[in-house]
Amino acid sequence: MRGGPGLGNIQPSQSDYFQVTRSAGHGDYHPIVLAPATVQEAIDLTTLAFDLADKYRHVVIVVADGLIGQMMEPATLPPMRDPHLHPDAASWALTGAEGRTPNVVTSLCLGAETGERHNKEIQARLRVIREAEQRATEVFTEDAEVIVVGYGTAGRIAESAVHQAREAGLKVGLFRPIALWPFPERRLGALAGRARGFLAVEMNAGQMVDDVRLAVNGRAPVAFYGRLGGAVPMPEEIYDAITGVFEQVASLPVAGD
Amino acid sequence: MATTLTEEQTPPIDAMEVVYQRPEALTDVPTHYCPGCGHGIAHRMVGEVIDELGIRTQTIGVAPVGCAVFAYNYFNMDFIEAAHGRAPATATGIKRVFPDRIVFTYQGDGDLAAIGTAEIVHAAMRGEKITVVFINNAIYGMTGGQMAPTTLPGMKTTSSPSGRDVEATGQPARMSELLATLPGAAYIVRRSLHNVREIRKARKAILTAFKVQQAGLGLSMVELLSSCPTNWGMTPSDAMKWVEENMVPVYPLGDYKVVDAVRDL
Ligand SMILES: Cc1ncc(C[n+]2csc(CCOP(=O)(O)OP(=O)(O)O)c2C)c(N)n1
Ligand code: SF4
Repeated sequence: MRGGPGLGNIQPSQSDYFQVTRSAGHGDYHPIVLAPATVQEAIDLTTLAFDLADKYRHVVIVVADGLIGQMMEPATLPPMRDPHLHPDAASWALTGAEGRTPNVVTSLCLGAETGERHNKEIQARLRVIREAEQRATEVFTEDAEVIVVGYGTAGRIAESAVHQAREAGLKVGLFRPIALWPFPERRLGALAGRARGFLAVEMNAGQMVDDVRLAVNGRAPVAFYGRLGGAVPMPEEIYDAITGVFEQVASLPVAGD
Repeated sequence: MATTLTEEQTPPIDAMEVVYQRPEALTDVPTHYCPGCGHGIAHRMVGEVIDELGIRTQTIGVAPVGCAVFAYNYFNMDFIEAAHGRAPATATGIKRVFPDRIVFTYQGDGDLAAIGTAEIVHAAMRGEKITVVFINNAIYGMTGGQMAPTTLPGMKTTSSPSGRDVEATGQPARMSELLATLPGAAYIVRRSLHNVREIRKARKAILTAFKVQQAGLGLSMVELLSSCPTNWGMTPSDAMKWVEENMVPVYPLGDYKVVDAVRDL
């Protein structure tokens, strides 16, 4: 993702969160979206992306912000694998109809009835994916009063800010979604029962923050800090935003009081 | 003149020899094509050629968007439906995963010469070892007869009701001539479906095009001038005459690119 809109620039951005997580084209669906925060993760998630695409016969997008794309850091390549068909692929793959009736791959459903049936099948598959493929990592969330939520480069920078805040004695944690769809709402929802406030950090005007609010579902205030148009936040800016959230929640009653 | 055999002249069934039947490469399904449409002829010939080469179970077809969108119902082999114009990109993926299979696209002129121009040009530039059957009926058939890049100058369509104005919309796109300039193309020819003689020539070209792929020589394409009586507002026989009298002068039949190795096939 680069700064936009239009030609924009080639600075890192996260401005396409809505575009990639809501659908990858026309139609009523979500792609699976994976967001690396390091070069190593970019490698590992790309491998995973192919496996998930095969497993679910579904679009998978690895969405990296421009910083990941332009960065060098040490990484270990996974062992090379021979390309192979997924075990389930035999029933639908186009390999030549030797010894079987022909396979046809099409998404054309001209009638409304067949179209609706097809869409219901897709929705059933999305429910399975939503259950099985939520992914995130966490730092210091167990006793955190305030939880910073950020993915990709913003999540990585937020982690530095969280460490600074811990050193200053603030009980703050980091929740970094790795899957943007399905959004790790189950775990975030559980944390919302304990934490007193959330801070979404993004390199955009506030997109993932909507998903954070849906997962938190009104149980705690959700603040937002973002930089736009290719600007990357410094840890100090996020640190200040964290202290702002602590001030905001200080006046709120503690859950269970 | 048609002759009818009397009952005495008709040989018993078991003494009769089958001289014409549906190719195995086609399914036993009535097509949805209009009477007099060239798509039916082209399907039949592709099916015959695939049978002749004995490659039905090794072949994967790519259907276009256009009237031939349901080609996968009529061909008895593995098939995939591509997005409008993207058949060469889809075929590229399949062929690269299975280089030993035969992969062909079947595309109309709205598909190949309009929205899909980039895909066919780059497939030819890359020298993809695929075969393209290109049906040029000078119009968007499926959507109701709108002007295509291939529409003849002055030709009336639903979106050029006063006739195609070349000042505003340019001259007809000659895709065979264009693709023949690209090094990755091995066999690029134009044939027509307007009479039996031309249909036989077309069949031979389709056979060669598949052989070019088997030999791995590069991209092969047969452009077929074809009729759309429905959207041209003509009877089937007038439409065939119209192809001969109006389309052939704008789209000269012939071989536009035949690399030397093709002559040894
Ligand atoms: C992306 C996209 N754009 C537009 C269409 C609408 N569309 C359907 S068929 C067609 C033109 C087909 O014309 P042609 O390729 O000449 O085939 P014919 O129907 O004449 O055989 C168009 C524009 C579509 N289905 N998808
Ligand atoms: S509309 Fe034209 S191209 Fe389409 S099936 Fe009818 S005659 Fe053929």
